[in-house]
Amino acid sequence: MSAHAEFLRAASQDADLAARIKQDYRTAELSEPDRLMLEFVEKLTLYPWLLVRKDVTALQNAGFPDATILHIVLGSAHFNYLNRMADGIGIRFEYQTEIPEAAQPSFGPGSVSVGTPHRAVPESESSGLTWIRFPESDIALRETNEPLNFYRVMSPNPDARQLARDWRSYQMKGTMQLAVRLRSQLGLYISGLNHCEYSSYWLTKSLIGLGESSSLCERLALGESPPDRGSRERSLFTHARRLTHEPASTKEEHVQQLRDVGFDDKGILQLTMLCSYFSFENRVALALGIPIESET
Amino acid sequence: MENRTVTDGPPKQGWIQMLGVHEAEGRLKQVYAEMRANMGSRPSVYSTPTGDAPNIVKSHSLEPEGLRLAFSISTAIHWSDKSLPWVKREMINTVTSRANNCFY
Repeated sequence: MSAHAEFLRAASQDADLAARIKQDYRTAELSEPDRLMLEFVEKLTLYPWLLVRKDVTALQNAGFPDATILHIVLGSAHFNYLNRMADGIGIRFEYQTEIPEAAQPSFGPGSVSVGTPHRAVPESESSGLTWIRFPESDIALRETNEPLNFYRVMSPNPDARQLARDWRSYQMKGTMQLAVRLRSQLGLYISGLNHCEYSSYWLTKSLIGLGESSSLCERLALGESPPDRGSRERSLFTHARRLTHEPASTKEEHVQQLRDVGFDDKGILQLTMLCSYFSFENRVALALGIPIESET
Repeated sequence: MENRTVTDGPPKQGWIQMLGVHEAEGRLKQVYAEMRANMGSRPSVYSTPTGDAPNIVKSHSLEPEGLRLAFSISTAIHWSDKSLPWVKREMINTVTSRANNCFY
């Protein structure tokens, strides 16, 4: 927040605007479309599972083209990744800033209960179309074992679309200290915490293919950690939950707990990247109403 | 919220090892060079006081491929001809970070 408030001051040449947005955007003098955009971004960050089609329709009615809405979603979702990386690794702030520090907000991820019920989505909200239109994709329509609608919705930005595909493949299939099966379990658990049915569908499919039981998949998709795990794996799920819902509460002692059960710096980084990645993927899927392929 | 400012505690950059441009070797050195080449003419406000890569970038340094992918997609989203205007992007970034209570 501190770095980007400074960047906003440079971009806008308006120190008051930057200070107000850093503190609370509601106090800034904004156009109606900008106010709507920031309300959307805040909801996308704090309660993405509560987003419904009418939230996107409100942006469309305010004059935002669909490609712009896509980039609002991608930009904020990627910052949800970066914020979790910053807080999960405990990085030090190295820029200079003159903008006053923001007071502790009365809202925030810490106020979100992991036990929050699944979002109540009206039947019409889960129809087989995304909430924005996008050009025909040149991604092959043949059946693959990939979440194609997640990539297709990014068609207005082909570079981002290809990189999203590569990034997901790296997280799920790349060589890491955590086995692919455990990574998929963690992804499904996080997607359950975020009530993201789209990602949950694909991760369940992947886990079933790896021989996982349906009962464990159902449990993880509800945001419930697996039973009967040793201290090493329990610490992973605890850390994943913290990074998902209360990233700013992460402390060095939590990272030390991971070291105590055998993780080195690289393993801690890989875990942090994996958990943070799903905060991106889940938000893109939830904010754009991406339907499961079998329903299209 | 824990403020990890320049005046706080010992001069650690983060809780894990983080390698900067001058310490990088092999694939990491290559990725840093590619990132610098792709940065084009970004405003100077993004440069760190030391001239090194920002800490958020360095935090990924033990995983060069993860670093490349996370920041290549960032460039495609935030710094391409498809991107939103600069002011709008930074409004979104600041409000997102504020909602997450992320000091950095």
